[in-house]
Amino acid sequence: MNHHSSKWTIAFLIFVLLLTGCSSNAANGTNNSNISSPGPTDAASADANVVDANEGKELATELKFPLDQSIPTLDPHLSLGGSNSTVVLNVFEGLFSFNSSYEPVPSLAESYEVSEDGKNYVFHLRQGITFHNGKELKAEDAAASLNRWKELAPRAKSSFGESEFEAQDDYTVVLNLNEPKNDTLAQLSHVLNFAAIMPKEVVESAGPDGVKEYIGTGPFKLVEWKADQYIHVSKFENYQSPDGESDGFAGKREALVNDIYFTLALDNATRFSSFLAGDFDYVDVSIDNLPLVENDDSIELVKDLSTDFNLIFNKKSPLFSDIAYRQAVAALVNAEEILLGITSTPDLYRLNPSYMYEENAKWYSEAGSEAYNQSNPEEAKRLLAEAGYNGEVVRLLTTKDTGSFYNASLMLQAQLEAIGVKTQLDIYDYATMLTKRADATAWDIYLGPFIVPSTPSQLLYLNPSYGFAEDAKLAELLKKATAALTDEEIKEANDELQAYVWEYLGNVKIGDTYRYKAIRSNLQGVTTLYGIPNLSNTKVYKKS
Amino acid sequence: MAIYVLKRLLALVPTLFIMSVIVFIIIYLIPGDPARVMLGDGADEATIQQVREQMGLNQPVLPQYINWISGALQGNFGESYFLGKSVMAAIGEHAGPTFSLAVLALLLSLCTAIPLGIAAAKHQGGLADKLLTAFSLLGMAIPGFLLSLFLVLLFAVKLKWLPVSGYASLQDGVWSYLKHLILPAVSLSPLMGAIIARMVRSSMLEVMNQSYVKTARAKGVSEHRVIYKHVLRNALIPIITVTGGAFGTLLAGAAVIETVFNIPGLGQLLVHSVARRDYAVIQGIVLFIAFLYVAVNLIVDLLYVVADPRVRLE
Repeated sequence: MNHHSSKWTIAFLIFVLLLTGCSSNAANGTNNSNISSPGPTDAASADANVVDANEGKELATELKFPLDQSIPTLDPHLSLGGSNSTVVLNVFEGLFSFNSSYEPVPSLAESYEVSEDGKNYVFHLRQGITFHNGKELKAEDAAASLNRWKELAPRAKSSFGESEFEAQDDYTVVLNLNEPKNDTLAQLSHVLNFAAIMPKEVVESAGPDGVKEYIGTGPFKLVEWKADQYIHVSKFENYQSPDGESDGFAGKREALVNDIYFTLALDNATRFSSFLAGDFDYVDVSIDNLPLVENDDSIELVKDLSTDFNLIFNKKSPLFSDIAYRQAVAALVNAEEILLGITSTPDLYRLNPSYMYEENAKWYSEAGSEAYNQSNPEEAKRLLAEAGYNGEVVRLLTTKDTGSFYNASLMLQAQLEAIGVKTQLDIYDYATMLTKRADATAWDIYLGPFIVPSTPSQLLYLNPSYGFAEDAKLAELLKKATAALTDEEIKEANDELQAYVWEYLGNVKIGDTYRYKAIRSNLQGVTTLYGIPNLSNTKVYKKS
Repeated sequence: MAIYVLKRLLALVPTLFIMSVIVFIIIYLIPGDPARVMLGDGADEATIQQVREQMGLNQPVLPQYINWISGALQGNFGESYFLGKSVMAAIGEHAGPTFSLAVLALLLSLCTAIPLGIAAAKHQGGLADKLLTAFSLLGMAIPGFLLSLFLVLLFAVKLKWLPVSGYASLQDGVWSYLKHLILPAVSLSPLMGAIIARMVRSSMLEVMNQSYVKTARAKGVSEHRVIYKHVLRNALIPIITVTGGAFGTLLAGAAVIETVFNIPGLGQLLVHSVARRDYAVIQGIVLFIAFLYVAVNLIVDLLYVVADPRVRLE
């Protein structure tokens, strides 16, 4: 009996060891409290009893905000991701910010002057601005940051070339360009590859994988970045807001909560369930989930103009290096059908032949739009026959990982097959797709969403690195449109460029898409631009 | 026995070495590039190549492997490109949630499977047996992610008893820790429970036909004592084997459940690392999982001695 019980004791001990091993592991792994669930429910109880004077309702001090994409880096100069901008734009500021009409408005700059020939810019910084580390913002910080940004952001590199930002005195930065650039302020305001101003020391110590510290001048400062889990930012007490009415990312900004937890929730169903359960007060809504929120009085449903969809040709592929094939596909494309395939409802798209949104009055152009949404299979067949199409397989490069790439490719595939074109869907994970797309031998057509910039010079697909748009006339017209100085000159050059984009057919514009966002009524003041939410000026009321 | 354990641990070295070579080769054969993922859509080729060079990604495979293995032999498994920490630190941080989830899911499975299996064996062909068949078929048929969505909808969204997702460590309080783990553990347990219950039943039925059981009954030993002392005890070895295998699978990271419930465990880390080609982390996790498997199997072998005195480990 004794012998037996000792063996059971050993068994029990092994089990207990296993368990304690687990719990000590758990403890080691989570020395930060609430490893992935940063106080969804506990937060409310910790709130101080702040009452909003206007509404008489109790304000919460914490906001938990969902992110639907993982963030590879928080370095504002490096990444092009939308999720990255959602966080970064609250922590960092640039010299200028966009208002809701996509016009640059001074932010860290107080004023600026530009020479008559459009080549020399002088930026005067606001004085007395401090970084999150307490250091005062000086011109040398701005110059160091912008010179680094210029090297890392492809659109800035192509715009500014070798020209450098220089600190003239403590509060003045100058930029002397070789040729006039009417997009200078727009480049400085754009939200992706954001031209953030950081302390000079941070910029100088940055490695290839980004800056080591995230120090800006924005209304929120970074407290903790728990990779793949959450990013915690808190109110920056010494924040000094630009003047003027809040509009887009411009004007007055104020942190109205003490803490924001940007919580990574990649799974659509989990993110939405968390919203329904009250963990989040803001969420994107897919069409199938729409009935669950559309009749709820406590939830506001907003339609957010998020991306424009484009078909990109590989201009180095055997077929599509020949413009006749590109014309055939452009003649075939039924944009409305593809947009419906992407969004599932006519409520979430609009036809738009321009590379810019119509909200951007300065650069919107309908020139060449007769080539848009032709939906003419007979003409496509004729063009293909003329080009000598002989049953070659057209490879559509796509991914199922994120967004609507795959649905759009399926719709185009059906249209191509219907006129007898052989196709092949090459589906990869996102990382592989990025690598394949850079390989001129790996694909023929790619369909994807783009964030619409504010000037044509920021369009990714007019750039040689995207689908190999290496065309001298395109580059020349782009340069001309960027160098134009007066509004009339800009309009003329822009129409010429837009018309040529439809003639060259490096890409075929499909249309603009929207996303539904659900906002619970206790969250007030969220505005979005480019589909990216601005959380300064956002109030959170406690749920009753 | 100490020599046996030592031998088994030494046998781990070639296993891990071969694993490391295979994983390294697979990683470098699949396309995709951490520099491209970091720089995002639309980055220009020159910048990407510059970052690749600085990250050491442009070296040929062999020097990269030699670099890595010489580090690994000194306990340095490299640095993550994206997490800003060493691979060991990242694994250490993510192992806790996975262990907790695996232990809780296993406990839940055992607590349902063993009584059900015993009851089914005792009353072969009876109601309990039929219930077990139904339960195990259902358990094996329902995908964990589907069950998890139903559970979330009911217990988190409608009833608001439990959180939808997330993880809390033990320091945040036992209840907070448990309430974040209940739904994922319940989602994981039916499959394992079903397998274990069927094994308990069949293994016990086999033993019940042995002559020493008949002898025990003929001697007038109580039925309770026959079942628990003579039958269950002798049926334990296959049950331990199955349970060990199930536990190993759970430790390997229940990637889908961890993703659905947003639990920062090894499975989720592996999925993220593969998506962004964080080579060092993928390599580290795969080796860690291989090590866990071997360790769990070793513990299972040691438990055989406890369960059956006739087993000798040489």
